[in-house]
Amino acid sequence: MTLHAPETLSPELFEPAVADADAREALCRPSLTFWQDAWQKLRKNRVATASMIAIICCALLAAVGPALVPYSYSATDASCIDMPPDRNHWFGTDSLGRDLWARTWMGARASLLIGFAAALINSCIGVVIGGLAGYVGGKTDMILMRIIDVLYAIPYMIVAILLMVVLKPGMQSIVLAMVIIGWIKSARLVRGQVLALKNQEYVLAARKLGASDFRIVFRHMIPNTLGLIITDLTMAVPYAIFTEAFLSYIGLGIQPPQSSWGLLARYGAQNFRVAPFQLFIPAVVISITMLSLNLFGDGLRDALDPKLR
Amino acid sequence: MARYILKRLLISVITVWLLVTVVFILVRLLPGDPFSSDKLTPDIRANLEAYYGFDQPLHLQYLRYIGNLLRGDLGFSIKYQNMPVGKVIADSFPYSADLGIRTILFASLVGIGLGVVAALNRGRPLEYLCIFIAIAGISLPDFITGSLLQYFFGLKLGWFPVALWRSFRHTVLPTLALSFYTLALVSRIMRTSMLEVTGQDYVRTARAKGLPTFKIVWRHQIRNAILPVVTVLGPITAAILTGTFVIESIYAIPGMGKFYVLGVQNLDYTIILGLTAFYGIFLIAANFIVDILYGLIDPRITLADGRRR
Repeated sequence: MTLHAPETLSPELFEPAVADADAREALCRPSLTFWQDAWQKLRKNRVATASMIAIICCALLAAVGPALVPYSYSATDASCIDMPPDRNHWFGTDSLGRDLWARTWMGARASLLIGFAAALINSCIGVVIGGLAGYVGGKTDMILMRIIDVLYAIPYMIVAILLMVVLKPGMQSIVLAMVIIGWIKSARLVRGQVLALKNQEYVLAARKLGASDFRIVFRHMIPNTLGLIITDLTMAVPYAIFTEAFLSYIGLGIQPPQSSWGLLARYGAQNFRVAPFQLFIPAVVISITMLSLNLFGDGLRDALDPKLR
Repeated sequence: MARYILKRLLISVITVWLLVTVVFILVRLLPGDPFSSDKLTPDIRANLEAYYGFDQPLHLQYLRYIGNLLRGDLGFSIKYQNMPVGKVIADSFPYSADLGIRTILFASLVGIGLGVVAALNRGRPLEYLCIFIAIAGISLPDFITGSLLQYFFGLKLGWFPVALWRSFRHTVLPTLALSFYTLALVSRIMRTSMLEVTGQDYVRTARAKGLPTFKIVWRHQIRNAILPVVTVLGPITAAILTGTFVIESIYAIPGMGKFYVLGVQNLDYTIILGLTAFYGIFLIAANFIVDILYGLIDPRITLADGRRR
């Protein structure tokens, strides 16, 4: 056996390769921030994208829907009672002759507004209190956590119902009733996250470099908890919408002649022997919205999870 | 362990006290008073107020209220003459409990089954079907499922009675409607937990020993995966309880939920507040029991004092 060496071994074969430090470190793909990456992942998730489009459509219809028909959501018309959907009344009319298309989207306005407002306020309060408890720690944390322990054991729905019995019915009261102990869940969540982040190396580094508490919280901690907070917020919206619909359904929420999805479902359920479409229409709209919000929340959680990057 | 139980008990007691105090304050804040009538002369009015103790200072009234509550005396209904709130609860609670227990049994059995099927069929259509049922169950409000089931299976197909609570056939639709959310919750948790367990070493060992798949799934996977389901028992109890408000009204079941909603619609304040106090205490107690149960069942849980049991 002989080794077949190349006939000519030119000396340049033994030249060391140029080690260009810059070239080696060069990025071959465009750099993405955390948010760009999350957005890309979300867009690739077909279910989440479809849900997002459905939510946007619903919000748009809530904004302009009632204006598309020449009927007011509260105007009664004795000449067309319990009419099934036709060319004039796209969703039919209810037992007082009110146009259901206008009522459905006016109801969407109320439900979405209440849902988003309650979820947003809850998150804000939760971030402040949870952040405070987690970051300051010590006595503050202990006192806040004991209060939260006690409040957490009070059933949420019971408090909401109690408040609605006493308060004047209306949108503000509903939001207030949902906010009064609704912030506790996100406060616990944020506190846990802040506690975990507090001992991370980059926070220590920032502190040793002389960063103020303010800077550490707003520059380092909040951006790192934001994904969690946003996911929590998205999941809280359908729950808030459900709570509003439930309260209105049992007669404690939005009062007629105002409209809300809970009210529409209630009247639909009472009247379905005569006019089943009065139940089906709100049922379909509520279900699609809740389903989309939940699926979108799921997608968002996957997209924002840094572990899945 | 004893310290942990004591701590949870203390928190629960404080919470109950807070709740009943809030209820007491709210009763005083309510608009109108129970003795408003033109026929009342000031003398009779004073007599009535003295009879009910309204002429005494507030702190004495509060003590009297707490004392009454401890004896289970919740006052009389405003709307129905001579009907003590305690009797309403005693008469109606068995129906609600019956419905609730049926729901929990059905929902946990089917939910666990769905979760197991989903986990064993990873990536196959069967898994997507189970996931879809789970998300739909979480997204559909029970007043919608309840009404739709009533319409299709009660009215259109006539398979089951439309309402009332007499025989087994009467119980099918309400139980199904009330189970949907719980079932979804349980199946979600069960699926995740089954997937976690599947990767464990002892499952691989069992497989390597040559055990039949059925035995591995039954003896090793399900038994270990079922633990986290206990954690959702608290939220489930709350969800079923609020669910009964709606389901009992829809199906005309003479349970507490129906009386609650009737109370709300009639503005029967003593009924609302009495039932609220009862519901609140019931839920707080249920949460307490679940907490303790979970601490007892799972040996991996570190209890409050930082030591392992």
